[in-house]
Parts: sequence; structure tokens; C-alpha cells
Amino acid sequence: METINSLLYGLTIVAQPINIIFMAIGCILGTVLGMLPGVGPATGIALLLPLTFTMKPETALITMAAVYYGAMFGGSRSSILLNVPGDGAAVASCFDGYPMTLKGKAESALAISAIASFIGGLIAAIIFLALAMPVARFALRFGPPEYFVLMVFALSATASLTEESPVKGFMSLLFGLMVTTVGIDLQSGVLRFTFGIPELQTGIDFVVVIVGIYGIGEVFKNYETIKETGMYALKTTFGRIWITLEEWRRCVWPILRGSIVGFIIGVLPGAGGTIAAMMAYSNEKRLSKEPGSFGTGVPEGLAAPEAANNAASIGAMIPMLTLGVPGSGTTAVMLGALMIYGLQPGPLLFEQHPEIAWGVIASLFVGNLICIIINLPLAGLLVRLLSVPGRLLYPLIVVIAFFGVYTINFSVVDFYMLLIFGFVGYFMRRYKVPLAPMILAVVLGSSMENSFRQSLMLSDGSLGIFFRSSICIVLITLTTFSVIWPFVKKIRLANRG
Amino acid sequence: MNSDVIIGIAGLTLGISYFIQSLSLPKAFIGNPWAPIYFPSSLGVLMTLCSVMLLCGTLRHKKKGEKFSTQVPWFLIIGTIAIGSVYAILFDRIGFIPSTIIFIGTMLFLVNDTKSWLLNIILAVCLTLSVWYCFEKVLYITMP
Repeated sequence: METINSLLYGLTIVAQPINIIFMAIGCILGTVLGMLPGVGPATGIALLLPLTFTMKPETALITMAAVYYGAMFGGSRSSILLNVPGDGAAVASCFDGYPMTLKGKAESALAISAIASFIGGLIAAIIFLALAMPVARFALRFGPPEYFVLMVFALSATASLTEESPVKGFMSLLFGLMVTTVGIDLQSGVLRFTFGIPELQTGIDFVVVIVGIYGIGEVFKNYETIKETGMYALKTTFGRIWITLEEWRRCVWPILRGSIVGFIIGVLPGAGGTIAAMMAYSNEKRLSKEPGSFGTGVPEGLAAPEAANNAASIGAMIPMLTLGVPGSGTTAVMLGALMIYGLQPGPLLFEQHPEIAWGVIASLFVGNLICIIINLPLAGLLVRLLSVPGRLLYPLIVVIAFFGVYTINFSVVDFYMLLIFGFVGYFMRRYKVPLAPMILAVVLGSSMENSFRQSLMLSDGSLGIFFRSSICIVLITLTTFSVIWPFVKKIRLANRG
Repeated sequence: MNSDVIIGIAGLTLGISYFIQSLSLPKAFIGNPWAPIYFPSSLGVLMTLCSVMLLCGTLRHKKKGEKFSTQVPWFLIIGTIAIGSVYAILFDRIGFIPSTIIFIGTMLFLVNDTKSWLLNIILAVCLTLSVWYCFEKVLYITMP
């Protein structure tokens, strides 16, 4: 009953005209950004981050969440129509989505993807609603040692579960932590790694790092293929975008299964939409009576990953909102936004700022509705944006990134930092170093070091404090497992092969 | 060269130099004098260890240098960095409007086709003025 009352309260927050307007803008922006190959939700939210400084925190977070799941809706448009995924989470949608277009069923494919995303989002939002309070209440038992170990777990799981090499994941993580050590040490007043530059005394703002790595780095990466963008032969006129009863009958169970798989994967740190969609696809293929038909344009092969990636994007918000520890690059950026407002996401957010916590949860229901309205009737209009040439789009992203970071400190030093991190971000992408661990580390690094030092103060310098509570022991076991698992997996594969 | 070797060497250089730098950090006046040094120095050690692991793994398996399907677009990257740096220098000196028109204009001339010069100029001027209006009149942020 308490949850229903809180949800109703959240809906009154969402129903405020300003929140509805920004949520709709977020959904449209997310759909468009998700659709454009090479520009994902993290980049979109990173570029949007400085612009949210003028908004109320709940409006800012509702808008960012809308961009996130809007991108999951939009990501599959280019997968289905062009066989070019808008982002990683939409790769699995190419397998059967594009063959459906080749068979002349583009309308059905677009409708299946939008409906599956909608249902996936809705189911995930309902589970989120049911879990939010119990998880937040449980997290109230956490003190500095538990928080430190939880952050270590989130970071190590993100680093080790990356699709690239886990060692590179850890290097990315360590680099992010190194960035957070620049500036004045708040507990001792000592200046660290400022190299005599006064602007570095307050540290490197994580917004600059995020916008540089995601915004500028993404543009540099896209420069590699700049001649190919906007040159697609696109189908822009469609018949009625809807599905037949037979298609619905075939898709309903894959959607339900995909939603559950997606949600669970989304909650886990480091996994994310790409793994969720891939897992849902292979799960459906395994359960199918005709697995050989997958990849030839079967609706089940499109419905399951679409439901999964949307459910994963909502699942990923649970640890961020209830524990204050994000599990992906995009939710790390959202957590950063809350920290800019001086708010500490976590269990206390539900007590001290219910308008934010419940506003965001309620917005998941309304936002999914807005997304399906955008993605069904307006699909023909939106896909025209795919023909915007990269040579016009990318300079504009650079310009937006510059304006964005200027609003943080009103200092041109941030322009240089932006370019440096853009350059670093490009080479990390090129040499397949995962970005998410670094972003998570940049956002969490200071809190992690503070929790560590607070714990040591509580225990008079004894590391034994990290092994005293059962929560710590469980988290340390999980951390050890997450670190060892990729190596064990590698050895097992090597032995088999 | 293999990308893992490049990342390994870069990580090793960063790890060692960061560790050495961390040892020369000033000590705390209150509490444990080494408190501000523990965390950074352990990061340096771990980065060095990870880099060595990556390098050893690559050398043991004798991975050949992979071929990238695309070239590094040096011209566009260096061009963007140069234009951005010049913008940072000019921003406070000549003011927001002229410096931003130059910034957006040159960015568009660099990346977009020079044949579309009219579009580039119109975009640069219109975008600058609309952003200026947005900052000054909507967000009440005074620009230089």
C-alpha cells in the first residue's frame, strides 16, 4: 500500500507540465540519439548533463532517464532498416529485424520492436517498483565499510564483465581512479597532482571527463567513417506500422521472457543492454522449435532482444537509485548529475527527497507510453534523421560539448581538459579499452576513497573492519568471484579448445 | 603493433610515473602523515601490475599486430584539437560572439565540405547568436 501511495505521489510529480515537457523532449532526443549510428545514450546524457544544471533535480533526472530508455527504443530503427545498429544494445535486433525488412515486412518489424520495448520497459518498471523500497531499506544497514566494499564490487564487476579483456577493464578502472586523485585531498588538505595549475586544485570535474570521453571521443571515432554516414538508401514511406494477430501470438512469450532476462542482467553491474539483448536472443533460439529459422527474419528473434534491452536500461537504475552505486557508464553519468546538486543517491534519497526517487520511478511508466507514441506513428518522420550527414552532425556535437563544459566552472581550462579526455577516449575506443569502468571510477572514486578512510578511522587503522559484517563478507566473496571468473572462464575455454 | 602491446606500454609508463609522483606528494600535517599517499601509490602499483600482465599475456601468445579496418583520422583529430585550443585562447580575449563564430565556422570548414561555404557561414553565425541569446537572456549567464 505504501508503495502504491508513493507511486501516486511520484505521478503527481511527473504530471507537472515542466516534467512532462522535458520527459517528452528526453524521449524524442533519446530516440534520435539511439537511432544515429555511433551516438549512444551515454553520449546523449553526457552532452545533456551541463544543460540540466538550470533544472530542478527531479526534472533533470526524469529527462536523463527518458533519454536512456528512449535510446533503447530508437536504437533498433537503424538496425531494422539499414542493418546498422544505433548502439551496442541494438546489435541483436539486426539479426532478424533486417531480414524482415528485406522480406518487405519493415512495418511489422518496427511495430514489433516498439511494442516489445514498451512491454519490456513496463514490466521492468513494475519490478523496479516492487523492489525499490526493500532494497533501499536493506541499504540503510550500510556503513562506510559496507559502502566501500560495495563500490569495490561494482567497479570490479564492471571491469571484469566487459566484453573486451578484463585486464584492460581494470586498467580503465585504475585510470579513472587516478583522475579522481587530482586536486586537494579533502581529509588532509594536501594538494595532489596539480602540477602548479591553480584550476586543478578543485580537481578535474567529472562532467568534463564524461563529456570528453563520451562526446568528443565518440566524434573522433566517428571521423574514421565520416564519409559513410548519411549516405544510406533509406525507406522513409511506410504503410500502417502495426502487427498481425499471428505475429503478436508468436511474440508475446519471447517478450515476457526477454523482459525478465533483460531486467536481471540490467541490475547486475557491468552487464548492460548489449549482453541482455544477446542473451535474450540466444535464449529464444534455444527454446525455439525451429532454431534454424533464427536470422531469417522471425518476429521472436526481434521481440526478445528488444524487450530485453529496454528492461535492462530500467533494471540498471535500481542500484543507482537505491544503493547510490551505478552499474553502467550511463547510470554513472546520471548519478553524477545528482551529485552535482549535492544529493547523495542511495537509501536516504527515498526519505529525504522522495520527489526525486518516486518521480523517476513514476516517470518510467509515463515515459514508456510517450516513447511508444513517438516510435509508432512518427517512425517514418524520425528515420529521415538518419540521412543527416555526419560531417554536419559531428562538428555540432563538438560545439555543444564545448558550451556544455563552459557552464560548469566558466573556465577555459575546461576546454583543454575536454580535448585531452576526448583524445584519450578516442584511443581507448580504438584499442578496445572499455570506457564504462573508467567513467564509474571517475564518478565514484572520491566517495570510495572517503569511505575507505572513514572506515580506517573507525577501526583505528585496522583493515579487519572490512571483514566484520556479513554484508561485507558476501560482497568481498562476490568481488573475488567477479575478478577470478573471467580468468577461470578463459582457462576452461583454452582447455576445451 | 598489437593494440594490447600499445596499451600495455602506455599503462606501464603511466603506472610507474604515477607511482613515483605519488611518493613525492606532501605528507599530512594531522593524523597519519602517509594517509594522502596510500591510495594513489597503490593505484600506481596496480596499474603497473595490470600492464605487465597484459604485456606478458600478449607476448606469451605471440599475438600478431591486428589490422584496423580504418585509419586514424589524424587530420580531423589534430584539426579539431587545434581549433578547440585556439578557441580557448581567443574566448576571453576577443569575446564570446566573435570567437564562437570563428570556432564553429572553422570546425564546419574542417569537417563539412568547403563547397558548402555559405551553409557553414550561415550555421556559424545563427548558432552563435542563438546560443548567446540562450545564455544571456534565458539562463542569465554573462558571457565574455
